[in-house]
Amino acid sequence: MNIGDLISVFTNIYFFAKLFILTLFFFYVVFALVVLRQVDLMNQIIGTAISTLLKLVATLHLVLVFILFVLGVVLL
Amino acid sequence: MPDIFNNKDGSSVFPSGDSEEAEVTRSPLDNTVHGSPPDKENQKAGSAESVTNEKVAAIPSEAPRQTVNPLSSFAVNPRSVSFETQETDETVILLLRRHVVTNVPWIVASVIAFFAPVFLIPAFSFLGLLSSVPASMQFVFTIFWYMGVFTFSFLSFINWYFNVYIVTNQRLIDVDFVNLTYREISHAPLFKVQDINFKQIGVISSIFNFGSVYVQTAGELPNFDFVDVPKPSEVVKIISDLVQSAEEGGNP
Repeated sequence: MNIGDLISVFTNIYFFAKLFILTLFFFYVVFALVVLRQVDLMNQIIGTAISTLLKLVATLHLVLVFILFVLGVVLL
Repeated sequence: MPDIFNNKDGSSVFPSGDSEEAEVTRSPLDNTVHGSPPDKENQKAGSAESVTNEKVAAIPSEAPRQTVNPLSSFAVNPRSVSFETQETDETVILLLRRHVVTNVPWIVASVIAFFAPVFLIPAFSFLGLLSSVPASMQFVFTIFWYMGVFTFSFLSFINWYFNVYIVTNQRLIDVDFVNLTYREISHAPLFKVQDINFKQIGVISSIFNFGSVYVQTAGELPNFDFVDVPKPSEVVKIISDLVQSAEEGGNP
């Protein structure tokens, strides 16, 4: 790859769009982890009949966000 | 003894150290809350009890014995509810959340956001805004949009669900789940409660019978604001009665 190709790659708007989106998705995964952790902590503070369900939903949320991140890496 | 002040086995939620006077004070509640036949012993009691009878008669007769619904915003003797700092002899008598109606704005926003792509994608296509965007990126963006809706809905729900006000037979507890990184838990013993009042402002709160209950406590303990809770007048009555019982029973 010569310098011209390199410049053309970096000036390609899709490259930066992809970089931006993947960074966004990465922080989204971190955010989903925080949500799961927080739900876990709140379940410890207040135990209710649906504590397990809430944790399950938070886990599902994390899994889906991670799948989204993988989709972004693969498809974009 | 009213069921809201009783454990599942029928015993009092108050510590066994209750004085006889306190017991006498609370006994008439049984008959009032659930409309069971009058207690013969109470019928024989003197004028002091009569006064107590009048006072506790204000407790709503329609109060359920035990709330089973885990999503209830006004749960009396809620089943399967416990909290981290709960003592062994401490019973949850009332668990409050903001009224369900307060969830309408985020539910409406979620529904609109859920159906928005159905209208927006054809509109953008018609305007030619999507012609330069690769199909893979459109697909990923659509998935991202729906994930965003899911996240927003879930966070709004847990924000409502974990913002609870708990009244036990010993104290008041306010759990504030402000956001993912900030939560605040404050509590005060019942005998420190000095003043309780409530406010119902606005048409919506009048229609759906919810409002804010303000509890002032003695000393440097925090005051409690039970915001937008259902049936505020009943909440005030229940807490007032518990405070009175706690003072007479000499709870710590």
